[in-house]
Amino acid sequence: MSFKLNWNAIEKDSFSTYTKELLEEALNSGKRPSILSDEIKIIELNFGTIAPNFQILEIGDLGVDKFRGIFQFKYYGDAFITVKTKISASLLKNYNNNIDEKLEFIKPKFIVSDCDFDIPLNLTLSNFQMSSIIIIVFSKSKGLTLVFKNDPLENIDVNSTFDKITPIANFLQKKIESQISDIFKEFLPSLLYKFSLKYTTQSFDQFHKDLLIEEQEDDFNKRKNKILLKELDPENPFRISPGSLMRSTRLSSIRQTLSLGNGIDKLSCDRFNKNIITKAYLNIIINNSNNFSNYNRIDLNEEDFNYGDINDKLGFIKNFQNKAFLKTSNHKPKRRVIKMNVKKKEINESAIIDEEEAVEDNIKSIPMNNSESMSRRLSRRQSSIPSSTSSRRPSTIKRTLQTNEAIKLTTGTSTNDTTNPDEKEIRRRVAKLDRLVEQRKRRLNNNNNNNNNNNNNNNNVVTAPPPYSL
Amino acid sequence: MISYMDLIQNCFYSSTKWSWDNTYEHILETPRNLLHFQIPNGFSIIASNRNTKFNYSSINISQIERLEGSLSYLSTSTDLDKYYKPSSTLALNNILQGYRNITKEISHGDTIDHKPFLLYGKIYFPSQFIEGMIIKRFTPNHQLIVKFVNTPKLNKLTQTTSIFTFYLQRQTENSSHDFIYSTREALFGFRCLYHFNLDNSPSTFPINKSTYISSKIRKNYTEMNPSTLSLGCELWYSVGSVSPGVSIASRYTTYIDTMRYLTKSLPSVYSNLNPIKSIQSIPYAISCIHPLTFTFAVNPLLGTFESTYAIRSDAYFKTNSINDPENSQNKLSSYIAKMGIVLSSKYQFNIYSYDSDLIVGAQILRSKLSEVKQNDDERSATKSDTFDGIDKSPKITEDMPHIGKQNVVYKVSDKEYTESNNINLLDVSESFNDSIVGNKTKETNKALSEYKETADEDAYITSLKISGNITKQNMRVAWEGKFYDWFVSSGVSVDMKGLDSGPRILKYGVEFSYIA
Repeated sequence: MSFKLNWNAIEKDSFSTYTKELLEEALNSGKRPSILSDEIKIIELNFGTIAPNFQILEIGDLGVDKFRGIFQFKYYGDAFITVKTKISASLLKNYNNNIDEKLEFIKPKFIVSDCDFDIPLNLTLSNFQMSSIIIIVFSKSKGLTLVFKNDPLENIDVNSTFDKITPIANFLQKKIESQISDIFKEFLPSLLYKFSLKYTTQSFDQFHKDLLIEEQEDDFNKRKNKILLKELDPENPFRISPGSLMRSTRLSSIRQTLSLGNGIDKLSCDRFNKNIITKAYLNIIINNSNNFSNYNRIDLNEEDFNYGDINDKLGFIKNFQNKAFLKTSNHKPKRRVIKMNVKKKEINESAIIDEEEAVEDNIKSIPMNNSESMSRRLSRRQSSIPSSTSSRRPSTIKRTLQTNEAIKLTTGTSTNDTTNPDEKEIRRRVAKLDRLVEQRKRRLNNNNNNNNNNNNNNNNVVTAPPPYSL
Repeated sequence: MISYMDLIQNCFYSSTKWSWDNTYEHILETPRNLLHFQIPNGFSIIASNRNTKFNYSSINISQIERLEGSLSYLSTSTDLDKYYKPSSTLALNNILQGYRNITKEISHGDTIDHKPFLLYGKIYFPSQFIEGMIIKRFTPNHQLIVKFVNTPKLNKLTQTTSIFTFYLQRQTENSSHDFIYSTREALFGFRCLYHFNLDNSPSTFPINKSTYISSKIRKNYTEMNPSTLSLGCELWYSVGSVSPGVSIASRYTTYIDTMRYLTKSLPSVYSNLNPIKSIQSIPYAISCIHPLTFTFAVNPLLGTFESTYAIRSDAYFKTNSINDPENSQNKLSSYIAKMGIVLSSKYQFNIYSYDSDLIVGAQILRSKLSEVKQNDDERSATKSDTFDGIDKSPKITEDMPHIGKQNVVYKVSDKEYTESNNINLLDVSESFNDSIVGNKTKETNKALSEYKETADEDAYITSLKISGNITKQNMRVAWEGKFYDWFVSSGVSVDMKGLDSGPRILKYGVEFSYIA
């Protein structure tokens, strides 16, 4: 896992001046080597445009206010630093200065032979190439500690005012190469430690807020459609409960895997990746398009009732359902039987309107196998009363089955006798029922058409369900 | 202030007739003492003692960052009685580093009849550094000095350092040669120095040409030549670190005693009553001739020029003030003191790097303020004894009482000063007068010279040195003085340009020294 670093943030003035001061103080601390006759001043410190590359190798300890990890650190960038100092070129003065200052007694007293003679030196270090394994330990109270596991420096370019004098230039290059890795190992961690103490322990929350504000400013245009975590809870933007963290990780990991909307049938196509279509969405599309309607459905339409195909189709449906049922259980499916020509029950007008409720009651009173799903219940209900109105599925609109004839409900009963006056009565009632159903359906279709016209969509293309937002 | 070891070494040189100043190493001593004077570090106390006739020891305890100290022992083969004095009687000028009047020790046959040596060893605590020195004179003109230091190995990290330096010195009246070898990086050095006496004035006023001094006696005491030009050079080469060094230096120094000059050159009248010819006091004297030292040094390898200038002026001052009302006699009481001022400056320039530097310094010396008890009769008597057109000031103050008799300060002559100070060498006033008139004896002449030296130099008890570096904006201040029997030296070094916070004290310290 790697990081993307916003390296431009480092170019801020306050940060770079603070770093310059820290660096100058560190370079001039301690006893100055006798060859330098002036303090070291930083003329320019430029962090370059290329950010270093961090890669997590291992995370050891992770908490709200502490963190420990092993990273691989690579930097092949264009940062450079220019320092200025003065070199003492008075040889006998250096001779005297190299003797310990407590040994004044033995120092020869030169008369003007050890006068000051300083040569200014401008030194530029550039083209750093570094690669190393680092361990970072961060705690809110103690700041940031960084340790280089191995020597980071692969290359460094040294330019100075002595470049034209090759022996001195070579000497400087060798000397600095040997010293700079020590400096990195010792000095950079302490610099970062001080820096971290300054910026984090004082106002940890403020630091986070500043970071978020920066991010928002930068990516505002890119993130129009996304909702950021901080919008959920502006006060504690990174405070997220473990449960919701798990849910959102599950969601996002699902996007990365091959399973499509597994078990989450409300999820339609992935908004972030338009190439993925979930199964649920596909089903919706198919179900609502006219072209594909013949593939998975058996429609019982009016002609079937007129010309007698209804029996075959019902038989087909019955066989299909039996097969599906028998896959999961061992006994025969229990089918509800409605006996015709029963004198007990009288069908009257008022009962038609309540029929749905009666059907519901019937459904409730049906002893059902627990393994049947809702869809099967519905399909059973549909097979028992083919004249169902709108579907129980809230988001889909199905074409309703239309029947004109009485329902033949038992599996084996034939439906061919029509001369019974009761049956005529039944038929009349059923026809009236159908008319009601048809009216309702027409109304709904009109609404649907209106909606479709408003959306400039094809009538048959279903709109996407409202998405889950993350 | 010089260390105890340097004091003993000085006494050793004086008693064995070796000139301290006659070496190239000390050619720029005067400007160094005035401009780059040392400031003690921290707080330290030094107690020194003469254990036996030939043995001396000293202990130093100081607090710099932590408590430190050192213990040193010295041993000589000659008796330094004549020159060595305990601090109760030792004058400050023997310890003080300041303007150096170049004297020339003249050695001759019978003074040294053995080969004197001096041994010195010092150990520092707690660092356990050892330093030591052996001075061995094997002919009257040749001397060998061996200095060494040794640092022990206290722990595994430190290295022992052992450095030996050999100085082979040869001195004659007009020249000096040194050969130096140091074991540290095999440093070889050669120095030479030549003196030229420039008698730029007729024989009237140099002091040693006075009529009362015979030629034989002349050799017995120090001469102060009116002007001397010294030229010298040094060559260094370090084989170990391939470092060469060259320098050439010259020094022009004059010594003119103002008073003598004025005595000789100003008109004077002999009176019949008293054939003494003397100048009592010169009010508002503008003495424009003072001892001065002008040096010029060059480093041809690095292209650095360095020139310094130092001038010294001292005089006795007397104030007249009305006595306290308590005193019934209501006589004029006056205070007399000696004050000296030395001004110096130094200019450095480098022709390659155009670095330049200007350093100015001053030293103010003061002596004890002693009250002159005179009554009016004596004053008038002395007045009438001399006729001197210049001596007007007592008259002025008496004639014009309305001016106020408090704060008239004017210079007085040596005679009056010594009279009032009661310097206890010999009967100086009479011997002085006699010598002027023409009575000459060996003792008086010697007394004169001694008196001159001591009266001139011994008077001072405090010295304040200031030196400022114009380009680097450093300032050093040092106050040294004699406080009862203790020599006190204190100083502070300030960096004026500092960092953001203004002046910054670089170094400060106080040192107390007692010599028994």
